[in-house]
Amino acid sequence: MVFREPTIEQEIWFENAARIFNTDDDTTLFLTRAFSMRMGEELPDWSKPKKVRKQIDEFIKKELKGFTARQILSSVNYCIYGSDATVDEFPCSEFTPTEEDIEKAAEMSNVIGVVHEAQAMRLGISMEEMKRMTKSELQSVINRALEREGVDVRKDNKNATIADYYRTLEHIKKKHDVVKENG
Amino acid sequence: MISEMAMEDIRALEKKGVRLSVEEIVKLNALGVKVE
Repeated sequence: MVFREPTIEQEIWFENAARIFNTDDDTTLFLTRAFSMRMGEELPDWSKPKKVRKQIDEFIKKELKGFTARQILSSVNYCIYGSDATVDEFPCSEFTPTEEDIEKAAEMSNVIGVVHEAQAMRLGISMEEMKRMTKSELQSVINRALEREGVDVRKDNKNATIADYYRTLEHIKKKHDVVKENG
Repeated sequence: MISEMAMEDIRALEKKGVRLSVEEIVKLNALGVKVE
């Protein structure tokens, strides 16, 4: 079994299936996502939840047997997010998945937003072509088009990282019940 | 690599008596390094 960075078609399938399941259970969502990311495997009709659940159960029993939760979670998160600087600091064997890791693997990726952006920019890529691309490939095409129009994409990315930093800091403060200061 | 920005925030939290986990410190530092 090989996981790869999900194509847009796989991401859309996961988002639809997750909505149909109507669950907040991150482990179910994470396993559904892992199921959708198998390379070269056809996905069942997402609008038939019973059939999808049956196939996911078979996938867990047959294909995930022999792997630890840590191995599967690391592979899935690596395929979606790339290498994680926080994991590189430790030997892999010492990495224990936290609730946050599971939550991250189960998170929706806003792929529809990127597809809409590409459509609005009239890049000349058909929906069928987009579905075969990964989100990062499509984002690169969008970035190239924006750069041609004089937009500083790197500056925008830096702003996104700063926002990510402060979101994480706020999350930590909230977790430890730190009272918000004025100013 | 150490991020000055993250270290400042971590020290400020520690002064308030917050004991951060290793994961929290490493994560904040990694994001801080990316920002700087």
